[in-house]
Amino acid sequence: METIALTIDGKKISSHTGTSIFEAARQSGIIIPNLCYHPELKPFGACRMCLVEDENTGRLMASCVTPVEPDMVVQTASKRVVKHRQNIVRLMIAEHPESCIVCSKGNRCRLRWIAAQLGIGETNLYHMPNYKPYEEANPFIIRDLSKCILCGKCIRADHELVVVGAIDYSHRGFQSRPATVHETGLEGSSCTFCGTCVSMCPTGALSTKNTYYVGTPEHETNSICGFCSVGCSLAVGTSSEKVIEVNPAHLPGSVNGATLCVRGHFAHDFLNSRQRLITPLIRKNETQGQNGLVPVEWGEALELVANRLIHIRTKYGPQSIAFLGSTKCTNEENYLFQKLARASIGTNNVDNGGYCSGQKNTHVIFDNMGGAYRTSRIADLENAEAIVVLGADPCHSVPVFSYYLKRAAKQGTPLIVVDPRHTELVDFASMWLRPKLNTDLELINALAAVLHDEKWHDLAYIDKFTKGFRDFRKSLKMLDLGRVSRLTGIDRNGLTEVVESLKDKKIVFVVGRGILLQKNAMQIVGAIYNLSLLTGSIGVKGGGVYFLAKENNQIGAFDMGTFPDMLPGRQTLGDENNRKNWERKWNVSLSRNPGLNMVRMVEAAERGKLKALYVMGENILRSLPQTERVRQALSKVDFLVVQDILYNETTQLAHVVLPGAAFSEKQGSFTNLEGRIQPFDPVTRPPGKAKPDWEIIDILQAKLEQTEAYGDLEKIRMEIRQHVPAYASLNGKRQTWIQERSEMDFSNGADSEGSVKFIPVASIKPESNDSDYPMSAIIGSMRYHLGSGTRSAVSKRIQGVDQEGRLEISYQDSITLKVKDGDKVTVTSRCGSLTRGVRIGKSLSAGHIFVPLGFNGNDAMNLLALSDYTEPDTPGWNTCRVKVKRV
Amino acid sequence: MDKLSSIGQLEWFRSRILFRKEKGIIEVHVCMTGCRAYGAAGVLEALNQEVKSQGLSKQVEIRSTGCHGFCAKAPVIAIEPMGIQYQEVEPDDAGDIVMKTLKENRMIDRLAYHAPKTFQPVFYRNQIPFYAKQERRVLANCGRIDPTNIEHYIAAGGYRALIKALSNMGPEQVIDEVQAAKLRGRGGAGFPTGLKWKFASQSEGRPKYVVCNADEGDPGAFMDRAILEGDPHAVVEGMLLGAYAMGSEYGFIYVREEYPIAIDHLNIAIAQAEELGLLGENILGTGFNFNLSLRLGAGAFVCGEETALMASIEGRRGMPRARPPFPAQAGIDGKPTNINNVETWANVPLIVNNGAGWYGEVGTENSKGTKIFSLAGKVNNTGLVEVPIGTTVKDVIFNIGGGIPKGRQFKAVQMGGPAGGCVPAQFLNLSIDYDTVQSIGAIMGSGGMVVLDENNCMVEIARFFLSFTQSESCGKCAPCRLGTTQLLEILTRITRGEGRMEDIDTIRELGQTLTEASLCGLGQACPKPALSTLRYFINEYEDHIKEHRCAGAVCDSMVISACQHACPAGIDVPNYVAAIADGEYEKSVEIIRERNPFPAVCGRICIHPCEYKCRRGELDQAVAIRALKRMASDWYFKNIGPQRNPFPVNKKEKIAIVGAGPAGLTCAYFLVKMGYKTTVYEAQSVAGGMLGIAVPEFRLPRPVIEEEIQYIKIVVLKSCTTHRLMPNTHSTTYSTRDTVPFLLPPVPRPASTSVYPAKTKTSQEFTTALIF
Amino acid sequence: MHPPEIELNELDGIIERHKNGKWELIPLLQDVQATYGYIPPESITPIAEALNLYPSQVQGVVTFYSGFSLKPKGKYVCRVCRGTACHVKGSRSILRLMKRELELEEGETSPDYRFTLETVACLGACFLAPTMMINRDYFGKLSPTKLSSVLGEYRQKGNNKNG
Repeated sequence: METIALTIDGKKISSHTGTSIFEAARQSGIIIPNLCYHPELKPFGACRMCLVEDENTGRLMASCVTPVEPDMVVQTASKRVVKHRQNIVRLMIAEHPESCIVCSKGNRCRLRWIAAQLGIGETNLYHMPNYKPYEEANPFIIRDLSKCILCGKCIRADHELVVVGAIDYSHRGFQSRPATVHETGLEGSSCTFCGTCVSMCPTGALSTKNTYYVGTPEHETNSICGFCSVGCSLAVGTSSEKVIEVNPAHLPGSVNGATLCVRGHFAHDFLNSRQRLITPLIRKNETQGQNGLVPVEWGEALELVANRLIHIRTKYGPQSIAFLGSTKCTNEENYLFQKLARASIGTNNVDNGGYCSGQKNTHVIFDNMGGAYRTSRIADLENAEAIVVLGADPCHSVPVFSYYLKRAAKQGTPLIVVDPRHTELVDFASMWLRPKLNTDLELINALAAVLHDEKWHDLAYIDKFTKGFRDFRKSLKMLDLGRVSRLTGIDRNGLTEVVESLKDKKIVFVVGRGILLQKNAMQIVGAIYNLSLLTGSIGVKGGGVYFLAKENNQIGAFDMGTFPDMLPGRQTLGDENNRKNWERKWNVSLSRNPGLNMVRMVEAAERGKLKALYVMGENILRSLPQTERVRQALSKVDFLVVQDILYNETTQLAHVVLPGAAFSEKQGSFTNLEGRIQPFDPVTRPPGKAKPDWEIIDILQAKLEQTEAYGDLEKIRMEIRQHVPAYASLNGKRQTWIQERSEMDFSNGADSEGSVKFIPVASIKPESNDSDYPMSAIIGSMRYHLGSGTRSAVSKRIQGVDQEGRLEISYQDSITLKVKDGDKVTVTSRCGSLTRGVRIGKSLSAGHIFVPLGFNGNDAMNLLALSDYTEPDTPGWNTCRVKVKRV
Repeated sequence: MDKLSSIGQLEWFRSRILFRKEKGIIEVHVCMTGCRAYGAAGVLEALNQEVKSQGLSKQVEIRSTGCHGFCAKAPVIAIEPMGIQYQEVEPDDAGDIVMKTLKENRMIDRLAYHAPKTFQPVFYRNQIPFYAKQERRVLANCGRIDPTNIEHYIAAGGYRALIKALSNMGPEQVIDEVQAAKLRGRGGAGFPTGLKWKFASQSEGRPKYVVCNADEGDPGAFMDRAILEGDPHAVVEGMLLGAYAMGSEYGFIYVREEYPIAIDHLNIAIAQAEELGLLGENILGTGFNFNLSLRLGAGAFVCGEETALMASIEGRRGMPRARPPFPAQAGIDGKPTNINNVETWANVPLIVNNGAGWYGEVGTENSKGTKIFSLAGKVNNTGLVEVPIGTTVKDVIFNIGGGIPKGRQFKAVQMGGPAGGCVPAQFLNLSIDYDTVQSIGAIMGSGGMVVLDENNCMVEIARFFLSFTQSESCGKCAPCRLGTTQLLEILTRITRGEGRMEDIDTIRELGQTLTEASLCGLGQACPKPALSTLRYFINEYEDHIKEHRCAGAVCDSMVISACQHACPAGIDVPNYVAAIADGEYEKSVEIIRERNPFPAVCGRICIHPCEYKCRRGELDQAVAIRALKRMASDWYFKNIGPQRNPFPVNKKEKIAIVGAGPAGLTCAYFLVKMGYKTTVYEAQSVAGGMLGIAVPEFRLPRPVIEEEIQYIKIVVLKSCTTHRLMPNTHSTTYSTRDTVPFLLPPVPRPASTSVYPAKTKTSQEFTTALIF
Repeated sequence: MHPPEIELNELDGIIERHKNGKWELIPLLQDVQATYGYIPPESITPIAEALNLYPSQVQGVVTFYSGFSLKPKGKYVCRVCRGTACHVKGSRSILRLMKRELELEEGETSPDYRFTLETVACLGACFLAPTMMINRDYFGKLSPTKLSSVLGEYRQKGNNKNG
């Protein structure tokens, strides 16, 4: 890149070839007025507001699209330029409806702002309003295209950033407007309501729909999204201590840039729900449900909790008490929470909701790699050479992550989707493999075998960094490809085609719940790990494995040790040294017993072994299978503490309910799926008497141990920094990354020869056909709800979309079952049943049904079995056998 | 046909065609492109049949060709080698043509061109002034060869330039030659073609594309269409040369879908060239590859802009983007691309073949060669005109174009379409080249010349172009999308009589912003028609705004009907013509008398501006308004006569009128009609003034005047007396009892008369009838 | 009356022909327009899927170019030239006459789907001004009489064909 010297507004500036004048000016602090410019969109040059004058040539140029040239003398505000800007604004105002006073954009309107800057009030032109219908049929976005100035940001954001293509220009000239296909409302289009366009719209053409008039936010504070594990930066707008609007903060280097998803943008109105818990509650009589709960002061509630816990520990021993932490709570809170369990009570019965996402299974790679390369950066997807997406529907589960995938695919990166469903991502894929359900293990092994057969494996990498290759290739050779084809339904040619498109490429694997919740998840992750080694894709640029965690702090909760046999920093409890270490640090003695996981806790309760359960931020009655069974089990627990932000199914059973604070009401940090640790500060105060969860635990711990409380989040952070090497950089000011153990450096590999091992090839038994339950239900999420939907279901806006969560069936099955769109069916499994409407879709092959999670009290979980004693750690919650009947 | 695999084979192929061509054969060239719309197909068929039935098939070749240029007289045929041209030929004429001209070499008077003043027939094309003053280079083949037959093109020397380039010239040499020829882009911008080629050839990146911009969208331009229809191989050869020079392998011709014949001919030409191996892989065995394909426009004017055109080729909305990067750096698919207009490409074989020296023999210092203009509008010889650059406007419009039809006044010529401006009458001697035309606010443009006469309203023309650009604006950039709409609104209001004087400033103000701030050429040029008419015809704007008058009688809202608007007396022409049509002659005369008491006189001697403005006259013949008036009034006097009841006088004011000429009598007529007692003074012994004295009897027979005066006298009889008024004695005879005087003497200047009103000493109430 | 029924089967053939080429959207749409006389809105999604575009993008292209129509047109599409030369030679009156004769406004199609009246920016036949085009045929130097006779012919044609 060449350096170019030029002068802007009399200031000597040096810039580089290819930089626009606009950028060059901005870098040196000169802001040129603009309406269609956005740093994350390709320059467009449509509004002409950024016109500048080149003194040498007298030429006027739109600075956003004109690259700097040597010796330019640029005037950004010459008389001539200002006059033209004024005229353009006059024209825009002449076309604009005169409705500023009621416009929700209010004083944030860029057009109004620029008009004021340029001193334009009256235009002295003929008013030529361009009225378009006002659209507000959907619950999220109001479109008033009369106010559109055609900056094209919405369309460009749609195409370039979120890659949905719901809108494009239609017609031309004065009539031209952004439009959906067939000019329907957004609800009838492929719009995903990510709201990116709303945040970018300079005028009131696009605005957030509210159920009541909220006006313009008084303050805007940055925060981190509390929904999924992508961890988007938010700019949260508040008025009178209420969150009224959410936009992307697009801080430099943020994961989401200018984008968000429907949950992040619109579902945060759950924070203002009437369901919020605002005071501690104690069950004063035995009446079940909410009615038995009486508001009390904090002192009384916590006193009770402490006394009861001590009492139960004394009476039944520490193993009779269990703690369920939260993937939604902060790192600091989870740290404190497991410390409460382990150090104050003396039990390892501590787990978190990540169990429901199969988080444990991702640990295979961590274990085999000795802790290195457990995370890959999302931004690196841009450099991927090939992407294989396995059992994931990121467009719904982690939308912002899916934007990266789609952008890469649009750029031409080969994208291979392996999924029994035609997910939205398949539309962008260069290849789609549709294996039969739960045969991914065979498929991945077969891919490795074919790749090896064709001699396309990365021998240099294998030689340098791995061991056990000889045994591994032997077991590959043993693989019966004919059997694989029969099992998976994908023939040898199909496999070869895939392998060909991966030839000589480093591969990025994206792994989702379809894999992580399979019965054989551990083995599949192992197979993926093998294939990564075979292709030399781990630890190098352009490769890596991405596990799509579900909730915002699933990774952090895990890292903080809210896990039965894992101490903070993912140190195995079984390792004597680790335990000793922590015993020293905490000055206690720790139990050696690996604790109970979430399901085992319920089972223990069922058997009457669990006397007390402390649940923080998990609504297990909604998130676990077999609700009724869980309810029965929890009813048997002597003392149930639920610390949450919302009244929910689980609080109804609690003896004590403690009102926590939502992410926007407290300080803390979240770790996203790529290992980015993002601290945040409160945006508003918690409602009523609610307290940040860390404060509650802190006080409780102090009571239990008769010591002084930390009292300050920074003290907790310091402890984490000191004792958890991966979080050594945790701080309250800026985002940072998990510190990986770096002894294994694959990029130069100087001293790491032969250090990682292939895992022997495993095989599965094919699922037996069950003629009583002839169909298979695939259970997955949709973008409106995260997980079980406790929070999103109370969002007024989300309530505006179809609450039923229709089941999808294939066209063929609709004929066999004699159902039409909208008809109701009953789906029955061995464990339970549900009744919902159906929609006939194109994503499934015959014999399958798709059941979306989160809707209707999350009754989808009722189809699944809570536990299967034969295979202890892998629940198999991705699919189940069912029968379907028309109601 | 086998592929020609070497340069030698092409030469051999040419000589074989020429050898086969029989000597002494007569060719009849029938324009089957432009003239097709006027029945040329029928003529062709009739000629073919006639030749066959006369047994002349061996001696005569009836050839369908491209445009001959003289479109005004379509269908046009030419008979070669004699050089005879017949015009407005109909199928029925085939017999005569074959029998007389082809067989007996006799000329047919009625089919010949007739000289405007002498009405003498002119049989030979080179004697017709329309052709004589042209320099037909690019159009040389047009109208001579069958455009659907590659052999014709080759026989006429086609693909010789290609041979020359491939065998003797390196790519740089071709570019040098084009640069030396000072060829400038004929699409309108006038960018030096050679330089453009140089940029593209220097650009890294493969493949490279060359594009022919045949999206001729300017309303009023049809040069490109004629070339594509009449000589498509010239464009193909030009592109081959360009591709060779720039190292391009792929070419596109982007042609309007509104040009079906051009599309057919291009498809045929490309197929034939491919068949002969002149397009495709390893052309003529030289290793040069070039694939050419056609892309059809889909109806968007803005796609003539090169970045929009490229977007359209890529299958996107034709929205322009900013340059740089220029197409030469990053064009189609981000690859180097060179775009030239049809006429530019067609010039290239001429340059390569004949050299830059020959090419530069005509033209001006900065712009060499010829330029084709499409002459249309209010001009006699509409058609295609190819003249050296630098020819004057007058030459083109009057000497070649034959002036303005129906004897009307030339007002301006609109050049360059919606991006251009008007060249008013005072610039008739302007030489037409890129820079000179630009200096007066118009552009040479792609070559559309639409001639406007006095019946055109310049405000309306500006509005017309704005409505065009407004509807064609792509909508991407704000100034163009909103500016055109605002300007259109302003101009529409002015033409409706709702304009404000400050609107003129707004047009200028916004015009400048649009010119300087718009993204692409469309937006930058769209205010030109308005600015240019404002520059030369501001009075028309002011008339519209202040007086609600439209000189061209075009603007609907202020003109109820063109004839009435044009009538100085404002007679309700449509109504009285309608009454005549219904046979109600009396009613018709009454309608005329609402505004003019002399229907019979006016029916004979009026200069009838109404007929000049008659809208019907634009289409065929104006309604004979004056003759109708005469007929109705004659019927009136014959059947009803001058008798009728006098008007009642019911007002007490008295009025004196000096002068019993047409004005004085008219004045008296209407004053009495209003109920005033009026006295007319006259120095002559008879009333009638100028009518009787100045108009010769054969134009206006005495009895007619008398009849009319008689009528006036009757209706005003009781209230109006005529007094004899002697020169210089009026002050005595002039009665002070008369309260208001009107003085209407035929005098050179009002001040020279000594007649003044009794009470006032000013001449404010002094009105003259006529000024000599 | 309903527009003539269309066979969407042909669409598959058209899509197949263009599916694998580069930059085929506009040529494909032109084929569709030529086959059906308009772009049936229901064809937008299959076209988009075949060419790997967004349906909204395809619609954007369709609505940008005036050569494409999303509404069915009449059997005879009359396009009155509104170019400069025609304009100064009275094409406004021709348009007025056409409107009166066909009882249609610009852009409208007669209820029996026989005639569609449109205007076009310029037909490039300025020497014949005022001009119009009916389907692919040009008519120049129009006068009121010529106009009625031309329209008469087409009316006749339509009647014969429709029995």
